[in-house]
Amino acid sequence: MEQKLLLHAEKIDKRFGPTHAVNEVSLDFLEGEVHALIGENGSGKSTFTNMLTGILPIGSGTFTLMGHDVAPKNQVDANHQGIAIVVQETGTLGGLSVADNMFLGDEDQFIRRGIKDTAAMNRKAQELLDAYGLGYIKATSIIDNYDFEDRKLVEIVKSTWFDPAVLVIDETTTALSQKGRDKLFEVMDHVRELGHCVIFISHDMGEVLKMADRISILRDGDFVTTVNREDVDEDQLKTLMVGRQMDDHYYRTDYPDYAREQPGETAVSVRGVTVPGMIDDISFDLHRGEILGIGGLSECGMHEVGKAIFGASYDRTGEVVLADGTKVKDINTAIDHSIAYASKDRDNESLLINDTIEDNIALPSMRDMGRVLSRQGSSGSSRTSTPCS
Amino acid sequence: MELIKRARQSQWYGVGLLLIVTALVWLVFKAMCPSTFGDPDQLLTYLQTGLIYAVGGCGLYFIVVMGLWDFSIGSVLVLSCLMAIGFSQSMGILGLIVAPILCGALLGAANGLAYIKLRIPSLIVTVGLSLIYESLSVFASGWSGTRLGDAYKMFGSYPWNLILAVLAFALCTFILKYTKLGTYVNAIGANEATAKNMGVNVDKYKFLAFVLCSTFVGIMAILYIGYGTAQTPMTGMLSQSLNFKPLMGTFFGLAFKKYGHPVAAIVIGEFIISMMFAGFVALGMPVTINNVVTGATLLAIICITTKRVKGAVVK
Repeated sequence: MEQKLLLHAEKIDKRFGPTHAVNEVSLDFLEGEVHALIGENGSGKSTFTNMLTGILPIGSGTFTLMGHDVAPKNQVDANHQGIAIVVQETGTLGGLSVADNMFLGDEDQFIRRGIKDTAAMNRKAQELLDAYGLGYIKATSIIDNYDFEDRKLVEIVKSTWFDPAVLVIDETTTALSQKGRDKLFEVMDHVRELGHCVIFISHDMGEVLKMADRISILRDGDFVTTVNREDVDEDQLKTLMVGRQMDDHYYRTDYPDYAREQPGETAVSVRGVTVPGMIDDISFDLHRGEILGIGGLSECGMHEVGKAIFGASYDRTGEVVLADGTKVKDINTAIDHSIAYASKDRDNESLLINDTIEDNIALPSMRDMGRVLSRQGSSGSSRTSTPCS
Repeated sequence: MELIKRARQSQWYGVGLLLIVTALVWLVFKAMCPSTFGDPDQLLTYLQTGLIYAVGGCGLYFIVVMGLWDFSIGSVLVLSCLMAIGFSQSMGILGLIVAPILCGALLGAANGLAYIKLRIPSLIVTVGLSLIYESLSVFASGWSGTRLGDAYKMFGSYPWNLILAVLAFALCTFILKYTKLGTYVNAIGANEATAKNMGVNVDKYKFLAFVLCSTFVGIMAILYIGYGTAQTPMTGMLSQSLNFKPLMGTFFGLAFKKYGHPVAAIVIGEFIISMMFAGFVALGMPVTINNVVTGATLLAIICITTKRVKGAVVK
């Protein structure tokens, strides 16, 4: 049976200054499908769905949902028009109760003569949590009492309880354990069974192939193609995403000591590194010429590993030893030995947003420049040594 | 362990904790000066001053919970007191009540409008405007005089001070719990961008918060002038000294917000501060030492009750 068109995107376009984030993308989303949207970071997936869900204003183009043009002003407005989103980041607000978070911006349904019927709101929130099998979460509790995953599950309830016609799942699974993922997939299946549509953004190709009916690929803001799940495999999807053939050779071959076959000398030795509440007893060796990947769920502690090696973690125990025997205990030692650290939280931990590019580049090297800085000096003498050599 | 965890999640845990601190403070000072501190009559006196600042603290809570500041409340208080004095002479009890509240609301609207339109930090806006309000208080005192008539001092003592203060606390609790504004000021404070994405009209609610803040300071003025019976105008930023005591109560409210009863925390907090001041006086300490110890105690309480993360950026 042919599925009907539910949502049509016509030449959706968005620019951020010189960056063309989404370039006249036209897409069809059908009733009763899970439609994956994939692409590398910066391909425009989230910008596209953020425009659909009112998080960003539409640059140009139109979204047509069930024959009506939609241009939500914000997320709640999007909800009222039958569109919902669950984002990757924390979308709940601390200091508010679970129920307040679930109905934030949409309290009018509980307002009687200007007064919020808090008891009715709490009751409804608890009923919904119970219906989703999350009865252990109390609607009246302050949301801060729950961990990241439970807060994410509250968001899922908040975004789906009203059976939206279009549900956007934007890289949410990376924040969830298997239990949370199973709950999310259950919700996605339910939305599909209702004849609605899920727009599913994920970097996990296995997950995409398991859940999606059709898959659209974006690259550098451009629409590439839409394929049926059964017509592609993971490698083909990756090729479509990056625009070139992928092979299995993940190690760099332009170094003389090709790491996999002939490991180079140990450049950094990490022994029993622990940061309370973050990472526990991490040990590994990193060799010259080697790229070491560390993966996991978003809150698993992987981001803290880099910070700990760089000496930027508080209360760190264990050792980080360089090839020459130097122990890295603080940031200054790390910088002195040409260790660079680019944080995930670029805006807050890696860049001085309100400062010049020159100062941003030169800052780690300024102590080598003498007491009186000249603009010329800072331009010419930034640290240039090879990282971790 | 589970029991302790559940107890800590209880809404009344924070209030219980504060009551324990109250009892401890009382016990310590009572032990040190048994004859000059802490009798029931004296406790009522401590409560009397605590109530005044708690009302202002409730108003300030709407601002500080959003991450903003209002450093004009001292000057709003002075001007509102002078309005109460002036209008009580011409309109009687109605003038005593309505004039300071209206004065506060109008000045709050001016604060809110200036903050929203100028798009500069609230601290700078309110300090700048407080200079203007201080000047206005000089003109106002020329018209109103500086002493409240004897017939209008009822809000300076029990039971009317308690009645008015309780009404103010009830109003504050009601707004925080049963109106959108109460939810939204918390939401804006938690994450303004997310609140905006949820359709919250951030500018509107910030404006309303400024109005509410100064309106509560207007109510505080009724209690303040009733208790002190005279108010001279203040210039040259002198009114800034009046910001501190309500702010201390607000800090208590913020520190105990997570337990769900910020107003109770503000009231109990102000009572603790008031009791400590009296305790130090009973010990014969100079006021300067009082301020040092009280300030340090406040910081200690906030440090104990706030989850501080090492390495987190604190501004």
